[in-house]
Amino acid sequence: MSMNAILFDAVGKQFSGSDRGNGEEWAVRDLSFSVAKGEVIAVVGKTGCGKSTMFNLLSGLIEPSKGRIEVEGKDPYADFNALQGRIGIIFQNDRLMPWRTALDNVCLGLELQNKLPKAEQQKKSRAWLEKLHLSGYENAYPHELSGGMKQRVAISRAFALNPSVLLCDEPFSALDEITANTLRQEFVNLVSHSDMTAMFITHSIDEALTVASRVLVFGRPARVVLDVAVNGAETSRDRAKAEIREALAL
Amino acid sequence: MKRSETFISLFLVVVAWQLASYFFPVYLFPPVNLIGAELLALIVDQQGYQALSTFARILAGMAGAFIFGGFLAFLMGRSDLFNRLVYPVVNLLQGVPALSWVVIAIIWFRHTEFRIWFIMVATTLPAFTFQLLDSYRAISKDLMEMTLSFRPSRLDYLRVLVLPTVVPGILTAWKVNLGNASRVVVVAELVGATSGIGYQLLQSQQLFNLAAAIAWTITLVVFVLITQSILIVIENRVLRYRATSERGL
Repeated sequence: MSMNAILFDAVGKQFSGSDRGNGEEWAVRDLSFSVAKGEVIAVVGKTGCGKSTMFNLLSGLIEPSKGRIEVEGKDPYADFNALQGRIGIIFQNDRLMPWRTALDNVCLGLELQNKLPKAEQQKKSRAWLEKLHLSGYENAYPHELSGGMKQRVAISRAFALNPSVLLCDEPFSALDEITANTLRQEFVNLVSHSDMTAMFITHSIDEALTVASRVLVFGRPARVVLDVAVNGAETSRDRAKAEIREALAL
Repeated sequence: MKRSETFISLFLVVVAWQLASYFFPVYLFPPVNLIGAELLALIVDQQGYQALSTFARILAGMAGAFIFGGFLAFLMGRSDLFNRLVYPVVNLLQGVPALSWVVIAIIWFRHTEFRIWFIMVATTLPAFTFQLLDSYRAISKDLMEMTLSFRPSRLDYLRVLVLPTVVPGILTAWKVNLGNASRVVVVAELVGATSGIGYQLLQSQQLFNLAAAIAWTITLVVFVLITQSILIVIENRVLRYRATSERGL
């Protein structure tokens, strides 16, 4: 049994001409890395390097053209249903359902999992909204909330499932700097108080160094060009930052 | 538009009509009181069932077209092959005039009610199909991926994502098709039935009784307006989550 929470083994994803418009193209090529259980890693790379494709492969939304992917020992594409409730995702934009209130949006994952009675689902969801400072907004529709509040609802939705693996695709990139900093700090606190494995995609080196204990730098097409560990010490962060900058410049 | 403005506008039409009735023969511009008497007679002489049968035919035809159209739209949305095969046929049906369907139905079917139901379904099916197909295709890719990431069952996927997304399209389709259906049902009854508002209009024409023709027409228009109002109430209730701007253009 693998001890890795996430495993990519020589994974490739090729899009056909009809998908991309100009012949066959590898978005991900020979991508190999693993993430241990409980580890928090960040992935940085230039725009268009295939980070989002890797994200979709990891969440099981698209099938790899070659190689092997495992999440908690399961193939996220082939064993799609087996991973229900075990992967939580925070997307770049909030992706809230406009016809659902904040509370109902947070309940969504629990409702689809259908393991808890409705009252329990709501209790758990309310607790998460409270934890993210949204008490009193349970019955608000998304259009009644600010961008930061909507993203908090989206974070609550992912955490309410209590997933073992959390995937975050540039979740604060659409927010202003102050709101993003606050949410980033809250995110770090939430993850550090859980035993979740988290993968955080970002294009900001500082953000990567704030949230993660290890940073992967992707080249184009998506493959690991640098794998660097980060600890709290200032010198380690500065050294990692310099190495990441150098890898991105290549 | 304010209610008072609507009332004034309609009142002016009634006054103009009444004035015209002083200068033209009764069979061209019957006075308003005569039209009112005909409207009253619909109730007193218990002819209301004629109108009710027309309303029932409209709703039954639309319900049939909605079910078949919804089914076709769903299959067309799910399968490219099915879409390529069926789209040209539905498009072709859209071009067939209502009167042609009336003639075809009279030749094909003996049973009056089935004839009218068939005509109603055939004429409103294309619009229902295309409107529902557009709503289905308008499902946001972002929301689709987000929902799928929770790994729902097919039924849950339909319940939590597809249905709420297509509801605005369904309501619009009903509102748009209601006017169309009310016009078609009259033609169908005029030619192929022995009851209903269309048949009563034919009787009025044969007797040169314009007051009765207007009274029956008003009955149908009022039914359409009441049904539209009910749909708007449902729409406001179901789509209350939509953002509205304080200032309009």
